[in-house]
Amino acid sequence: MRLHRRRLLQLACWLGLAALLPFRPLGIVVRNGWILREDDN
Amino acid sequence: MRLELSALGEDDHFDCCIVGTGPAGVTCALALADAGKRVALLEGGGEDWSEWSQGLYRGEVEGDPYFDLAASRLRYFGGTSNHWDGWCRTLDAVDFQAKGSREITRWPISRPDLDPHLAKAAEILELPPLHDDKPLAGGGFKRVHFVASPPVRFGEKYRDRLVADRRITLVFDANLVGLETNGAAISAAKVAGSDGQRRGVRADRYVLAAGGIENSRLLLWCNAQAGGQIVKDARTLGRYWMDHPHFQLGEAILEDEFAHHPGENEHYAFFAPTARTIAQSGILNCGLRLQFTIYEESAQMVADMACVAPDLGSWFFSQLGATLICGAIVHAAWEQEPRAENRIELSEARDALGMPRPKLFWRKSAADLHTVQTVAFGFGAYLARTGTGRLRLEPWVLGEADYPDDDQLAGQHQMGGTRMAATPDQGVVDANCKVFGQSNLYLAGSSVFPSSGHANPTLTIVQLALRLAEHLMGLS
Repeated sequence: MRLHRRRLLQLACWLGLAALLPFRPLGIVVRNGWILREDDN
Repeated sequence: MRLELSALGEDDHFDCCIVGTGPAGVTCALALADAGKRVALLEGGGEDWSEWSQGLYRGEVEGDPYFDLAASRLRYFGGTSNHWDGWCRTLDAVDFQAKGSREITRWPISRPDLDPHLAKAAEILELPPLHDDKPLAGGGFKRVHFVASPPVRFGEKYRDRLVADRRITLVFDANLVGLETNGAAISAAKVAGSDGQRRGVRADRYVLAAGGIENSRLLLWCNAQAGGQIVKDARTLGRYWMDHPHFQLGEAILEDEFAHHPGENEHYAFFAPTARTIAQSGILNCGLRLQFTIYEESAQMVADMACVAPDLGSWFFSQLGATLICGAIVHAAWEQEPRAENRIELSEARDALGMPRPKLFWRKSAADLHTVQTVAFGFGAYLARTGTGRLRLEPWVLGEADYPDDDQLAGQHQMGGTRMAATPDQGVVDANCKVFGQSNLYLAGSSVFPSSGHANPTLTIVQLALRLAEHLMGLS
């Protein structure tokens, strides 16, 4: 049951994030040692 | 049975004389005894640790920071199994092959040659079931598994069996100081006790199973004494020595579902590049060990990341609170390029038995750094691309600093020096672990590894020892 709830919460979070981020070609950048997507901000 | 060196008769003759009571020596001795062979099993140290015996392991190191040679291995009954951690994994199939254009990594055997000995080796090491590797969706990497031996201490576990077996003659304080040869076969192993007494041990066949440094040192010394008549083409003797460099790569924030798999180790996750990635990138093998952190450490990682990506950091904070992500320290243990320059030589200094001490020359190469950098960047990019996490790399991985001196440095997996090869110009032993040019001298242990993969070596050592025993049983 706990796993099910976690999965739903995770899905909701991803959907929320996806809605906020416009689609753009994926690139990889390094900032202060962090390997990030170009659109990570 | 157990015998004092003084009680060993010059007329005693054995089917096999094995030097060393670590995982390789004990495994080989028991397998031969089970097949009805009479075995002399010689241990240079005693039943327990002693300062005198351990002192024989002192040596010099030149090159990159490395361990005190008298501390990284143990010289008493059970050998270095007395302080190993127990981590086990088989070598990958790709580890037996030439990696890219590097023919030097090729073994003269392949993984299917060792697979028949896996179940027995796992039983000896008391391993839980081994799992298959699982390629990660999105490509490039695979989730791999290490399993833990209790860990088995070979002296403790097998003492009673070795002593009770009438076919085995176990002798402590029996230090190999020379090998008699007629140029084509060994006729006796010359053995000295700490009290100065000397004996010759005669057998049909001889196996040196003394460890990843000592096999080279013993063979270099015995060969020098015999005027080069033991290893006639000694160009590779002592050379192509390797360890697995071990360093912390950085830290990662990971989707919890990606990091933790039900039924698997709850403290660690392991990853490695696929064979295709190794081939395409021109790298060697490399294992990543992700060690999960407690909440406060994970929160600090997210805070650090928020400095460079505030929105993402804020979102990760919400996920951390809901336990949907976790933090991990990322360690790498990787395959070192086999290089002739990395070697064991005989030092000018002598030990208490009058034998030259070893001198280890060990450096990591540009290819070694390239391997770990490629894997680190590749894994970091994989996490970012798939959204399964983010990785922060240490300055040394980014090429902004040298390797740190205060890290783990290496796995103390001492390998190579008497490498297995198809021809005597490429190595010291053949595919059956027989020394080229000698009809009855064999080597067991990690010193025969021509290349090392990224896996801890003990499981492969035991598989090879079982294979050697099977080979010896088949000889008349």
